[in-house]
Amino acid sequence: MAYVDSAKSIPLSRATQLLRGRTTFFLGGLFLCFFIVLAIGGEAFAPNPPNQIDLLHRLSAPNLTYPLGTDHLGRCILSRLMTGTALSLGTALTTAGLILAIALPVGLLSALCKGWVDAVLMRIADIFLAFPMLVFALAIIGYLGASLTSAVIGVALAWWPSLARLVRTLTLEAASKEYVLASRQCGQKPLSIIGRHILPQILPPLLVVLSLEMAGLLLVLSSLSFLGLGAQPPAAEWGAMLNEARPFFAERPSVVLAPGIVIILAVLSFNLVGEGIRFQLDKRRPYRW
Amino acid sequence: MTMQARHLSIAYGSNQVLSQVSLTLHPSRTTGLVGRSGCGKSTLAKAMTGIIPAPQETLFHNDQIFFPDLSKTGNIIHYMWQDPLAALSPFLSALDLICEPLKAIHKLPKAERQRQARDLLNMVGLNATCSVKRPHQLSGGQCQRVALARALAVKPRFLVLDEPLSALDLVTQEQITSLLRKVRAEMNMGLLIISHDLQTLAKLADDIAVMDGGRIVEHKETHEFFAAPEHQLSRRFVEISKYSAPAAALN
Repeated sequence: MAYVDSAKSIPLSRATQLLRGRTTFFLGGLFLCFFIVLAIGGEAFAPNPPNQIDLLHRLSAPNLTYPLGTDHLGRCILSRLMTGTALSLGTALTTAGLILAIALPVGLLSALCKGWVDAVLMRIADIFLAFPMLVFALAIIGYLGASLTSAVIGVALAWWPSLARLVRTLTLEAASKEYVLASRQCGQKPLSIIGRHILPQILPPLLVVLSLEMAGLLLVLSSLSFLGLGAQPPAAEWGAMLNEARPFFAERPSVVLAPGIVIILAVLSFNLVGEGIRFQLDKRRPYRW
Repeated sequence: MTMQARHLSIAYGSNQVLSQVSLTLHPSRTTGLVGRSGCGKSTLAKAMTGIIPAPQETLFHNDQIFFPDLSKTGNIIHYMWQDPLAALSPFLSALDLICEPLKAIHKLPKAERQRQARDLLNMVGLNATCSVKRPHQLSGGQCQRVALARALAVKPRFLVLDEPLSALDLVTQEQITSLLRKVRAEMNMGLLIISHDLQTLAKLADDIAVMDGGRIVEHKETHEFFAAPEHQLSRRFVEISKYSAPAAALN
C-alpha cells in the first residue's frame, strides 16, 4: 500500500516540477527579452537625450517629462537607464565571452593532454584561485588603470580558473564515454572529436553555469562601476549611475532605487533563465522518468 | 600476419585480472573466446586493442612489438563494444556514424563515403529509413548492426567483437553470422569473438579459447574442443550447450 501511495505522489511532484521549470524559464525569458529590446532600441525609445543636463530640474520627482525623475545634474533617469542597458549587459556578455574564451581551451587542453600539460595548467588555475576573485580583479584594474575595459579584463582574468576547472571535469567525463573512444578508434582527429563529440556534451551544462554566472558578473561589474573603477562618467552604466547617485540618496531615494531595481531585475532574469535551462536539460536525462 | 598477446598480465591493485595470457589471432581465421562473467575476456580484448593500457612488449603484430594506440591503430585491430547504444554517438545519424571512419581513415570524398555507408547498412540488413535515425531512435539490434557496419567500414586486419549477437533475434543472428563469415573470407580479416553462446561459436569459430580466473585454460580447434574438452570448465560449457557432436552444427 505504501508503494502505491509513493507511486501516486510521483506524477504530482513531476507536474509541479514541470510547472516550476517552465514558469521559471518563461519569466526569465520574458525579462531578458525586455532587456534585449531595451539594449537594441533603448536610445530610440528614450523620452529624453540621456546626457542632456537640465540644472533647473535637478533631482526632480517623477513627472510627465521625466517619468523616473532626474539625477543631480538634471539628466532623465529613465532615459539613462534605457540607453545604459546596452552598455551594462554588453559589458557582462563581453566578460562572459572572454572568460569562456580563456576557460574553454585551458580546460579542454588540460583534460585531453593530461600529464604535465594538465599539471601546469591546473596549478596556474590554483594560483589564480588562491586569491579572492574580487581582490584579484581590483589588483589587475589597479595595474591597468580605472576604465570599463580594465574592469572587463580584470574580472575575466580573475573568473576564468573556476570555469576552466569545470570545463576540465566535464571534458574528462565526456572523453571517457564509450562512443568517444569508439570514434577515436575510427581515426577521428582530436579537433574533430572535440567538435563532434565533446563540445555537444559539455556546452549545455556550461551554458547553464554561464547564464547563472552572468548575474554575478553583472553585479560585479556594476559594483566596480559603483566604486568608480569601471565605467567612467558620463557613461550611462547602471553601476556607475548608482555610484553617482550615492550622495543624493537621502534627498531623492529614487535616483538610487531606479538603477538598483533594474540591476536586480537583470540579475533575476539571468538566474531564472539559467535555472530554466538547467531544468530543461535535466529532464532529458534517461534515468528521470 | 598475426596479432599476438604474449604473457600478458594486468592487475588493478591486488586484483589480478589477466595472468600470463597468450593468444594469437590469424587473418581469415575466427577465434572464439568463452568464459564465465568477470574472467577477463573483455579486459584481454580491450588491452589488445589499446582501450586499456597493456604492459610493454606483451603485444606483437607480425612478430614486431605492437603499441596499440586507440587513435592510430584502430585500422589494425578494432574493438566492437558490447553495448552498441553506448558506443554510438547520440549526436550523429547511423549514416554519419558509418561515414566517420570512411572519411578519417580512408579519406573518401563525401559522395563516395555516403554510397559505401549505404552499401554497408544494406549489408547488415538496415534500410534507408534507419540511415537517418540516431542511435536512441533505433532498437538494440539495429544499433548492434550499425556498430558492426561501422567496424566493417574501418576495414581492420583484426576485428574483436564483444558479444556481437547478444541483442539480436535468431533470424538476424543468422544473417550476421553469415555476414561475418563472408567478410572474414573477402576482407582476409581475423576475428576474435567473445561470446557466451557456444552455438554461435560452433558456427563461426575456427578455434575456441576458454578463460577462467584471468588465464586461458584451454585453446583448441573448434571440432576438437567440442569432441574432447579437457578442462573442467570447458566440459561444463560443452555439456550445457549440448554440443557433444559439433559436426552437425558446423555443417
